[in-house]
Amino acid sequence: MKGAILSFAHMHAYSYIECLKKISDVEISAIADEDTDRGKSLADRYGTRFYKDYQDLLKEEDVDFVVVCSENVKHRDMVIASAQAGKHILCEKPISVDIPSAKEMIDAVNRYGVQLQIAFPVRFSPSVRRVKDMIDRKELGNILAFNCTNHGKMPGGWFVEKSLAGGGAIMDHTVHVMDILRWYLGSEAEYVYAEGDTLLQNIPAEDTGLLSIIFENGIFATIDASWSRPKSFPIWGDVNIEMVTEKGVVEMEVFSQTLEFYNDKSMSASWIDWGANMDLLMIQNFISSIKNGKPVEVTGYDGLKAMEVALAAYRSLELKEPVKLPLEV
Amino acid sequence: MLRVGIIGAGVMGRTHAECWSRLEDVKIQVVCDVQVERAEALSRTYNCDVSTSADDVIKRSDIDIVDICTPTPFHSEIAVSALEKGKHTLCEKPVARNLESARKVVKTAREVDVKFMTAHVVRFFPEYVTARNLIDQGAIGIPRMARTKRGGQYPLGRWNDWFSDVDMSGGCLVDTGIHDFDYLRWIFGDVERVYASALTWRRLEHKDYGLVTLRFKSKAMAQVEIIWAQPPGTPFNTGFELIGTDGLIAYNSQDSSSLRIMVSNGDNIVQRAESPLTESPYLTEIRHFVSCIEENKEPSVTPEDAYKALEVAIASLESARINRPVSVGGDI
Repeated sequence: MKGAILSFAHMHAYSYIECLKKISDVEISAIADEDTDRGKSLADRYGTRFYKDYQDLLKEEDVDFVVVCSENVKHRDMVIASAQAGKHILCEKPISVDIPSAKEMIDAVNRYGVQLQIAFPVRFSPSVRRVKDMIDRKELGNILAFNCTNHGKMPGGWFVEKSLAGGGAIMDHTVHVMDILRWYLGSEAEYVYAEGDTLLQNIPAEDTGLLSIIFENGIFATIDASWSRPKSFPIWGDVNIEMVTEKGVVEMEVFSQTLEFYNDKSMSASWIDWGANMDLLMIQNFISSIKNGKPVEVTGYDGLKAMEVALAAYRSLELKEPVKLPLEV
Repeated sequence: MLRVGIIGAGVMGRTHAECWSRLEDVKIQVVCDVQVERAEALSRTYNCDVSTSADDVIKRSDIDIVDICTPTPFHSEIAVSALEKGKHTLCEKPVARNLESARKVVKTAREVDVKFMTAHVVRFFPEYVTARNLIDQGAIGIPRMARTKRGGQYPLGRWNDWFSDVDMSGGCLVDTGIHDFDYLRWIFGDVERVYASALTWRRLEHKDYGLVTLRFKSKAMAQVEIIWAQPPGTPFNTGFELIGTDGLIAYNSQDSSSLRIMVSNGDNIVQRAESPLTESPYLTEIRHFVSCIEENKEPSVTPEDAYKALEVAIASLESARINRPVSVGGDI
């Protein structure tokens, strides 16, 4: 399988390309990036061709799939063009920044017979899978509620520009957890209430977001999507999912398999992740799906439904009341 | 010598009695409970009188302090009577089950010349006090966000299973959430609105759980979690994160205990964590109340604080019922 990276605007691209390199039957044949300096130096490092314009890259025959890591607003055009060019697509989350564009993307991949997977690596965490198995085997009793966080440090750059990211912390950090909750419950969000604001940093987007969700099956959940980790925090952030069931409580801290590391040269303390490489597991799964012609495990529709909750949260901030889903577009 | 009458000999009455007994210039004069055997058990330990009537205790001329440790719905009426009879009054939280009753307590407390305090004991727990002192010193810049967690197993084995009756206890949000509402008010000031989800209204047997989002007048926001859903035997656990413009303070009781005990006595295997202190926060709280009486000072938890914490709790319970945000901040 031959793949290409479309843009390194999202820093996850640096991890994804490393993961692709580790997979024996995958070859990275090209990189496209609007940022010529960034793209060229990466193309040199990985020994691939470089294109400033991704449309030129898509004309190449020796590209079976693309990984889209552009700014959120650019996902739509890149995914549709890639589908037209007959390339399978792994697209960074969130799928896009509004529902019409996400639907156009899903329509395009269906029309041109390619696959679109949304990059939700948390689905591939061994802990997350372990709990999914326990739910499926009904070991935990009926689920009653969730209390979740996806915290991070304020990322800066285009992430805080609404015109490029489609929002701030809520757009960035709602969807990972939301995807897991939908997967666990087999139910969609029916009401979303949110509080959110710019409270911690001097940035043009919200840095704090507390979402309250009621699912169609009556189960309720909260997601704290805030960029609330200080710069001095010992790790990038967290994905924590606490689940209350008939039989008790399961607390899952997806990124807490860590070492404590203290270093005098940098006068810093940090937590070093030794857990599973979820990006690698996700990409292996994606490659295996497209190679064997199986449907991908995390679809464009999954991406759309997770993003819809973030969009509902923004509407709730305006209305100061719960918003009913599905959203009218 | 201050003489105290304890009304209610349940879990909190027993906890308080032990604390009162440690103070040198205080005597437990009488313990009262409708279940006389519970009062008698305490009277044997502390060598005091027994009563089954709160009214009789309040009327006694040899009582200086009334300590109300009854189930919630009886707090306010006893408090008002005790204050009117000129007794210093320490009242378990919540000060009342509804705002109208709480208002009467506040009004009475402000009219009389004795001390009144609601036992918001979290303000005396060293981890919570240390965090607030750090914030006071500007350690995290301007405090803007919080997450709190409190709970464990369902409170079982109480008089008439009164915690199961939402009209009496208010469920986990009113009974237990009020601790965090009070603590967060202590740091962030008055609350503007709340949104809550809870199992309370589903009336599941011996299971309750609530999640409350608070928005403060200062624009700060907080997520409060109250758990009465862990299996029996789970130790009580708490945690918080306090986040400001310059930093974050985090605490989790499960991670910061100083003792882990793993021993076997024959077939009996003991595995537990402990976190011993120089003195119980309940004793610190009662010491503070006594010092306010002796030195004629205002207790650190004011009647208005007790009212406002209850107001947040009642608003949360209502929000969970109607699935809509509820405004807080009416006049007392």
